[in-house]
Amino acid sequence: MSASPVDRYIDATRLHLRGRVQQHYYAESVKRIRDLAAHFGVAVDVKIVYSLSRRVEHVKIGEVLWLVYDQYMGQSVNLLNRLFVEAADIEPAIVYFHKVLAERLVEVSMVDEAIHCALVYRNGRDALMGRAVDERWRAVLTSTHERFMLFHEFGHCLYGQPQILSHVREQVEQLIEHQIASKTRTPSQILADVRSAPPAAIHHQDPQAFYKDTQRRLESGEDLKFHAALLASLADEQIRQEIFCDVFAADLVWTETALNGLNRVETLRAVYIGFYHLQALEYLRRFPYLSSQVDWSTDNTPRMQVRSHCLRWHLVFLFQASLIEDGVKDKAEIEAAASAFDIQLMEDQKKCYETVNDGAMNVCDSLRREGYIRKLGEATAREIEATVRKGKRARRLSETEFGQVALLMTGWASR
Amino acid sequence: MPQIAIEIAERAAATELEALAQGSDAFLSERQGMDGVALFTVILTLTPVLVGGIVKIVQAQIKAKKHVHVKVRGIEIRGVSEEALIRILKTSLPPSKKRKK
Repeated sequence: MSASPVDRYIDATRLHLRGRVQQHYYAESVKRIRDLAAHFGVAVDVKIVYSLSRRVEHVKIGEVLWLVYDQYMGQSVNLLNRLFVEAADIEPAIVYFHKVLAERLVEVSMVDEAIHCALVYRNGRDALMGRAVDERWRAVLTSTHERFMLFHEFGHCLYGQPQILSHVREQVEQLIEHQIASKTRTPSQILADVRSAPPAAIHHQDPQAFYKDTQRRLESGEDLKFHAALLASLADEQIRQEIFCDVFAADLVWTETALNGLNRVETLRAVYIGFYHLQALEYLRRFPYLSSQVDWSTDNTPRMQVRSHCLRWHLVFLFQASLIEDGVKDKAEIEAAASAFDIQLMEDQKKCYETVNDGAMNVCDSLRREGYIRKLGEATAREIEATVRKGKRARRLSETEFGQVALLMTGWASR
Repeated sequence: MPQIAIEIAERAAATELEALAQGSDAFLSERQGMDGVALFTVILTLTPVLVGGIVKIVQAQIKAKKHVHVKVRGIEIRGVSEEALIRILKTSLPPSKKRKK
């Protein structure tokens, strides 16, 4: 029997391992998506894959929209959650991101560079040994974010139907309006806000030094281009769609948690933490296309930042809704609790940077500077070639074989 | 024979690729790229007959600095040329059977 179009699409666009997919793990979420798609009258179906791409996507083939979810992405997020829970610094993240980068570089046929990254991972992977710290919390984090990613992608399948989900669309408009207002504050308003910010908002830096640095930046205008990119992102139709999908996914995950009687605060925190992992993985995915000079008008960072700001506001909104649902009526009590929850999200964000995100930036920024990755790749490839030639083999390794060696070292492939 | 995926931003070029393999099992899919622009992916079975036509269309896109990615089994091919595609075809052939003595 010949393969179906969607299977042929997956075979051609991804290096994937069918045997590693655990369909049952996603059965409930897939059923929910199919039920909702039927409810909204949209032809959507789901495929779970386990692929080197670590990519969740939706693709239209014929009249059907296929949502392709990648279990390897979920597995990667699970590892990042372990680092978030256990790591004391960014060293383990740096090691792990060399594995992610090696696999990405194989995908784009940069095999010499991939070999270098794979070797760094193989030599340092002991730093990633688990310590089984708070596995319950890690499971909540991973399960929440896997569902968030599935539902986010499903949101894309629904966005093009303007007659449905009007409450989500209204919320998106309010979030964007709020962000535009926040990002068009005058310098004196910004400085006043910095002065009254809670320590978590400035990642516990020295308040006086932070104030002076903000003042200097405002006067020098060095952040103007980044600031302009943030405002441009808020006016971008594509970002509006992404924010719609973030809000839609957060709402679905939150509703499920409420229905199952689980801890809603933990779920909302998990959504936010997972969003930072997604940013780190996205940064690495784009590594082959990043130049050493950052151009904020085309870079993805401002786009991800406005999404994360909107998401945080929405999570605080859902937190307040939880309190009201629980019967809390006092407005001051709700505001105080929401403020404490917001601070918790800021603390989580700080920890994300300290254990995961700074690692991604560190790896990418150091390797792309002055073509450093190219030089390292060439040197490592020469070493591997010399080692191979000492053995019985006389001919040079082909590009495919080099890629295979890199994937053996990262643990993706087996002998 | 291997499946080849050609991701392209220009609809006309995607349709041209699909037509190139007319009568075979080629099909077009559509997804949204990071910037929201639609990207078309033509999936077709790579055969010796199609090599020249594919290379011509892909190289025209590269020359015009338009988005085009060619993948086989999830690996992006850099420097798409007739030689590169024929090499892929050769490595995808099943090993020849040894003659029984």
